Amino acid sequence: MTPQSEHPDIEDLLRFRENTLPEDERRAVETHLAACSQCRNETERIAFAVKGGNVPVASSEDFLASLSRLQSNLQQPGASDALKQRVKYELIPYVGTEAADSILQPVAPNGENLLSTIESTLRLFLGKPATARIVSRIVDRAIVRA
Amino acid sequence: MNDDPERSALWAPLIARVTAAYLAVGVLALGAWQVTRNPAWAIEFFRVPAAVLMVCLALTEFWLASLVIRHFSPDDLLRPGWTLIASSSGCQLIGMVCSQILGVQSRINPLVLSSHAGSLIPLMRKAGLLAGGTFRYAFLACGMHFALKAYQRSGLRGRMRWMDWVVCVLFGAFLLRNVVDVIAAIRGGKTPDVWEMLGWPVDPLLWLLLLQALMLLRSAGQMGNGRIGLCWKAFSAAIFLTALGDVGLWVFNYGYLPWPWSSVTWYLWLPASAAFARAPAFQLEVVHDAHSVAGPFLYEVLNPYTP
Repeated sequence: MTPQSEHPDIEDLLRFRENTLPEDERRAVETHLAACSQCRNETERIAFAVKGGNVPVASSEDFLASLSRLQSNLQQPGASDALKQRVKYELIPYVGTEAADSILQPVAPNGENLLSTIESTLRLFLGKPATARIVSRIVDRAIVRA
Repeated sequence: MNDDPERSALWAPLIARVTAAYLAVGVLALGAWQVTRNPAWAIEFFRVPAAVLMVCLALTEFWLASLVIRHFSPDDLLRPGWTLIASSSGCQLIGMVCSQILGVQSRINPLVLSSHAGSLIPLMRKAGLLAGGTFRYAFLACGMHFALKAYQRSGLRGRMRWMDWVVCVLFGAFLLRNVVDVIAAIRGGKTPDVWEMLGWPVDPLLWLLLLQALMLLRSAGQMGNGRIGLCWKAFSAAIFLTALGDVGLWVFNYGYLPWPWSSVTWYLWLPASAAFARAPAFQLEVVHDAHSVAGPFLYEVLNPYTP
């Protein structure tokens, strides 16, 4: 487990599932899972993903393909604005309309600093673990599935 | 009690409903006092049920603020901020137990059975007022400093309006008046004891907190309708009500508001405590919402920011 958080990280959960964790760490993860429904859900998702089950996320190949598609799409006029609009829509429930506009203002036209800009602001208020989840959601909904 | 995401959304509305119910009963007690001309109705309400609610709200605030800390990494800006806020809540809990339960002659105070009750009860009250006053507000002001720093760094810090400055100037005048009164009392021959002196920073700290609260309110208001701002708006409301309650105590002690109307100021402490408890509840709600969103591990696998 990472020293920063009491929740096991993704790598530990994967290794837990594969039974490759050292005994003491395995026991710690097991104890944590018994009490934490959030991590149990995460473990189930990993199990589904490893089995190739029907999980509501894209595969890494799809994700990378979407990113390269996005990169070429961003060269087209107005594409960056459309992306910003989608990202803004995802940000509004957390930060509000005015703040979403303000956060997205310094994003470059080609969108290269989009995630780092969002991440640095959200992390100030919500911390690293929650911010990673929100950015994950934004990547999933506004980029991969768009 | 656990840190279940599904339950975190229940806390803020539950706190509001319970406090509203208590306030309704309190208003009924006030009405009964007016009708029967017997102040025991209101006094008993504050001595037992309201005291229990205040302790429960302080406990809730402390527990929820402690849970919030766990959601921040050691290198996150607000981790020390929330640690200070939770410390402030801990002081409030100690203060409430000592001043509302152990420092009062009531049916729920076990100390009344002690042979040393005569000396123990006033001591508990003084200790409670110190923990829930000077210490609570000092920790809270430091915690709020980190919140303002977060708004500053994000570029989302709002500007104070002229009305905010008026409120600060008015509270500053109230503070100055208290300082003048203390100086006059000392010159008149009064020797303050150590408990009184330890309580002197309360008003200056409240003034600082009021300034911070107004800045936070404007910053959170400028963000729009986002859920992140709810926590800081709740803190702002709580601090404003606390400052108002402090002025109310002064008005009551100096007899500026005629009895029984001065007792109305007692009711301010209930919504103030509720707002303090709701603030970490809002923060937990938004953090848990973030953790429960679909596709959470995709970004972690491909996250370029995770070392």
